[in-house]
Amino acid sequence: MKRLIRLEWQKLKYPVIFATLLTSLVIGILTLTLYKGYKIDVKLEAWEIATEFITFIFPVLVVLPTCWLMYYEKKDNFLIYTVTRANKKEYLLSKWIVISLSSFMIIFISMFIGVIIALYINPEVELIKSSFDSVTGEYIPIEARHIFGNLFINKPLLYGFLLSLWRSALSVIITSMGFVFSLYIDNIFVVLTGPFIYYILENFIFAILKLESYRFVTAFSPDSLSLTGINMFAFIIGPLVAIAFISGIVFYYKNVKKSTIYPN
Amino acid sequence: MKSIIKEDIKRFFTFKALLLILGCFLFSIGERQATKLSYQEYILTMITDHYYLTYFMIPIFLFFIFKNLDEDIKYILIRFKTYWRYFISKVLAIIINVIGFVAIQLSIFLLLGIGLSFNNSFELNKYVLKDMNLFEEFTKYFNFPLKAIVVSEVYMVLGLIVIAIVFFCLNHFFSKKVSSKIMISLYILMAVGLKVPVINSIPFLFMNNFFIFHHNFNYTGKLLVSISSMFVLIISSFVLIKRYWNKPINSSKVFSGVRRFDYYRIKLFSKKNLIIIIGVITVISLRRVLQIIMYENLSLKEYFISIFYGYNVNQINLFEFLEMLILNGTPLYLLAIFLEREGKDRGLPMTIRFNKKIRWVDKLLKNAVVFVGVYVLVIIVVGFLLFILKGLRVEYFIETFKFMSIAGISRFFDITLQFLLIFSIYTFLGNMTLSFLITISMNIVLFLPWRWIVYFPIGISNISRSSLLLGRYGISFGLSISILMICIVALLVYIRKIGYKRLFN
Repeated sequence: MKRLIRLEWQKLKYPVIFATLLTSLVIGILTLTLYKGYKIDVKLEAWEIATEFITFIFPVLVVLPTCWLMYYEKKDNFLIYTVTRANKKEYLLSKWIVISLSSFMIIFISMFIGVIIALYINPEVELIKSSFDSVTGEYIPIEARHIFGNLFINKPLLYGFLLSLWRSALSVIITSMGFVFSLYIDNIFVVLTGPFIYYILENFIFAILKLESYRFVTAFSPDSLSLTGINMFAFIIGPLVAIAFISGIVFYYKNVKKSTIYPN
Repeated sequence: MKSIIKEDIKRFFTFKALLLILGCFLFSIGERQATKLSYQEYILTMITDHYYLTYFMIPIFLFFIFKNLDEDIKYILIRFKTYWRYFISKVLAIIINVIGFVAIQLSIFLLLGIGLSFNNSFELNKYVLKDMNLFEEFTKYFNFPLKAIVVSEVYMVLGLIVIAIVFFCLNHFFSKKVSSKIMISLYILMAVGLKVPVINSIPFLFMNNFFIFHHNFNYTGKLLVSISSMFVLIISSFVLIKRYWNKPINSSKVFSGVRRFDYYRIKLFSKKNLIIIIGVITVISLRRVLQIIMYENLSLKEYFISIFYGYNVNQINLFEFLEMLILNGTPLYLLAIFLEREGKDRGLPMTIRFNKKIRWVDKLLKNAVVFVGVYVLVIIVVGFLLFILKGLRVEYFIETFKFMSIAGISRFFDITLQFLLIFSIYTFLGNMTLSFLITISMNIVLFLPWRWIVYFPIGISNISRSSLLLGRYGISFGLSISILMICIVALLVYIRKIGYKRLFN
């Protein structure tokens, strides 16, 4: 098993490292520049503004470097070659482990570099009291407006670390969706852009049905909605729907169309 | 001959005639309770009631005719010796049936109206009459309501006879399935035409002019147009039956010269793709209609402005951006899937069969462009249908039509340009995923805060950028279409001269 994992990592090494470096570079540059067009109160907000862009395209970032492998192995008949050499379930499992860990790495490293740049390299910001309650006229502190406000203000490094961990966990779900697509679907274009299209369509459909709190995007970046829209379920339902979709796809291809991963 | 006539009449007035009597009865009872009109005016109101005619009488009449249509039974035809005699007996049966159909309704109205004051003159009392305009029109041509009643009924009988004969002809030449589809689409066409008064003047297409007399008041001379079109229809059906009754209609000879088996067309316009297109467009249009239906005096042009609005430049609003991406990107995504699968087999056998490599490219591009055109057409048609079904009227039809066609044409060129861009990048990179993603990411340029982004060719067909809404800060339609055509021509030249050769290496 360990050797299989090392083998898969050898195959995916270069694309994943390249993707990590590219994403870190992009987030770094955005964190250093974008905040200048906004008025921010806390240093970490520069990081939030930069990751708004990444939130939109992150399925492409994690699926493109990793999920092409299975499709090409099936097409070149490399997969049949492995049947006599490795246990089928172990082989697929090692693939999944490597793909998930690499997507975890891509998102976590790039996000955390963004946090560090925002906190330690960006210049200091001064707090300007700008939002006032419409009824009482008092100043609303950021703790009350922002999600996990206390953590956000007092321990920003911990907040950034936890949020990067959470986002990497979510990206594992998206990459698993790409992996399942690559196991069953014959069209490399659908495999690579499938999770991205799912992400966009789910965002759109939930917004039409006025269920914005339960999107996958809300779970990914909880500060995209105001505090009233966020509750415990907002973090869970988006990923759960994604997992249900993956199970649906597996069920459909296994039981309805009866197609197997390894050709018979 | 007489036996066929008798049998047809028996088949027409069976149990389902009770349905007609019941509906007529309920309708007239409902009106009779509340009316204060004189006897003649009451009958005239009954036989010209819009909802009764469109939504009850005509569907029942079509149902009756449909049940009466039949395959020609061979032993009947043998006994008749010529088809023409059989046809004439059917026509006589139709005449008697239609007269009976109209007579049933008229007698119910006559019976139920007993008790109202017998006053054979037009007293236009606007507190009692339902349709003041209509009766005013009637007073211009008739002095007494009785004349109007008689003329309307005779006209209805003649019109229904013509319609029944035409449907008999259709049923004889086409199969029952096809002719039923034609009948239903004619009915829908008539219902649509009633909402848009301008279209109703086109002769032949809208059957309501044939049997509803007061629809011929729209312009002077319309009565003559309707009567002559009825005449033409009768004469042509008689001639067709007499001369060509035994010659089947062969669609390949009727519709086209040579139709070659087009593999790409079948693959691209598959059922799955069409269902996806119609589903996406219906969801987006429905959402739009529900969003803007609360505005007063909503016109069709405003609806089309809203659906082709797209996304305004120099701002970041993720939800509208997503909506524009989905509306523009659905045909591109389906085309990319199709290209990825079908564009891979470029081996030697295919080059040999095509004779020239350029013909492969041409076929691909032609099918893709037609696909985009169908997509834009479906947007327009679905919007139009949803608008009408919501019960809104269409005014200023010519102006709406002009705007609709220009917006549709510029949107068609826009999506075609994006597709050609995908294809060109594909010739460079060989990788469909990257080309699709690069083209979609060109839309992100709209976020940038500079003024000249308004002229960026991708997304230029969004009405949000046009001078219609932005004045002198926007682009006029002529300029946007010219920019799009220049870019399309440039990409086409590149693909056809250099690009496709890279694919075959």
